[in-house]
Amino acid sequence: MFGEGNLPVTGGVALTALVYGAISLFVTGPLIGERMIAKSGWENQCRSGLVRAIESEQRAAVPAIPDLDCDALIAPLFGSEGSRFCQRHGGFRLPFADQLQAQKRRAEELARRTLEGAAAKAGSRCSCAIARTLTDERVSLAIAAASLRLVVPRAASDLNSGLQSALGSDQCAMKG
Amino acid sequence: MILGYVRVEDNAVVTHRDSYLLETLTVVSVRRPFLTPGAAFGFAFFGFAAMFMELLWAHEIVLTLTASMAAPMIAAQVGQLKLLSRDLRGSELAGVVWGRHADLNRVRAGIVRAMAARRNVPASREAVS
Repeated sequence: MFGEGNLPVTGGVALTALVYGAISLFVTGPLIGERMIAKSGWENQCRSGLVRAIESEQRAAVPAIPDLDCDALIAPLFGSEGSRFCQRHGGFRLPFADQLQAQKRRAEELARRTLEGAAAKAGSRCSCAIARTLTDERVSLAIAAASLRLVVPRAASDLNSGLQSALGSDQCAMKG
Repeated sequence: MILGYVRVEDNAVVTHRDSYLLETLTVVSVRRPFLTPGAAFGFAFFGFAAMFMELLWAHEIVLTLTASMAAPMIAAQVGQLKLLSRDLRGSELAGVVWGRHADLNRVRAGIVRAMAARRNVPASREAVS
């Protein structure tokens, strides 16, 4: 249809469009995507959400061992009479209570360390989700940037769903 | 400022690459090839700063707005002088010299005057302006 030298656009216009497209794809698109995510505060929500989830998992895993002293054993059964009994006769502890308490403290310490590690890993998992979303939605973000927001694809306007699916992806889950 | 050089000698125009006999030269043209792209980039930079202002840092906005003004201004300064002759039309030897548009325009006027003198025809006021 178009012979040589009879193209509908000149070389200069085509080159300009190519340069503009490349800038949108590699510079302005990712930049606005990154800033939109930062502005939404998603990374902080992601970290605290992951830490909360790990915390509740651990709380369920750590055995709840009550204090095995007089107040814990007698008072609940006999009410105020039991409390008075404990006050009158002083506290006593079951012989294996110290071992159980030590075991509980060790479990709590282990849980605390695990939580600290998990909190550090949560950061890298959230960063992974952001990086992956910016890569996956590169074209949508480039369209939004290049068109100066005249055309904003759904993926670019709703980055949260992309971030959530990236967070659950195998690639990012391995970091958590 | 001209990249390379263009000189009008007795019966030829000599550039840093080629020499053209005045008798064979038919067209001397000076264009601003980057004016349209420069204006487009100026508009795009301005639009980007305006439309994404809430996502940019202050220094980025300043930088982008500066670029939006600089792009068309620089593009307007860049010129390209083309020397064409009947014999060389469409060939690789159609001479191109890059430089500042105003300087190239002065050279163009000189070439046209020399061509007119060579052919004993008056150079029009418009052609040498």
